[in-house]
Amino acid sequence: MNEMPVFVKVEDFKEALDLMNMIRAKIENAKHTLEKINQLRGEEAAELELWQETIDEAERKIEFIDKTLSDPNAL
Amino acid sequence: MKQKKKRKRSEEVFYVGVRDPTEVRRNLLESAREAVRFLQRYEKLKEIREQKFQAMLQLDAEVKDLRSLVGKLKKSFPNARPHVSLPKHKPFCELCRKEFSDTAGFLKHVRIHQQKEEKVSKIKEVKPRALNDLEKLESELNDIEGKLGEM
Repeated sequence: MNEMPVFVKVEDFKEALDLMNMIRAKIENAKHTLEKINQLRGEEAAELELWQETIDEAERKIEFIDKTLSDPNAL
Repeated sequence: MKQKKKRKRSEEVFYVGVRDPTEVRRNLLESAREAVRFLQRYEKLKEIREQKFQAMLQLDAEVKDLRSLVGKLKKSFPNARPHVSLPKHKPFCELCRKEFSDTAGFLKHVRIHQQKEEKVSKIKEVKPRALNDLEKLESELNDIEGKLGEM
């Protein structure tokens, strides 16, 4: 039974080919969108890294101010 | 009497010297500048996240379209016994990468996303205010940088 050939009407076959083209185009679109999401994810990660650097820098500055204020005897 | 009191008060005032005051002031101003930049970066991050969310919704719509097209394609073929057994498809949410055992649960979940989408569109209407905030931050940053330049 499994070995038997399958026949499709010509009209249906044309429709199937059109559908295949549409599906291919849709897959291409989905791939582009996924690429965009990945790119945005990268940008997000880069931004968060910058945040980390900014916080570290601010911490260093505040530490310096704190040290200077709490050590007035060194004048 | 009054003069005595005044003298007493002036004698009571103590001062603490700040070592390296210019450097302290510079550090303070630079910290303020970093804080403003931080807020600017937050606005940028918010924008990126919004774009990502929109892209995910778009991807979700595209996957839905794909599924309907594949369904149509399936209909255009005769009902013959499949030669290959395909793995069972489970509904999957592209946005939160969750798999569902049944369609009903998946549809319930999708409704939550649709509600979120409505909220986002409301946020979009408020966008001009965010721009004003950015402008404010920019002018604050310019002020701080001006002060730093004067030092």
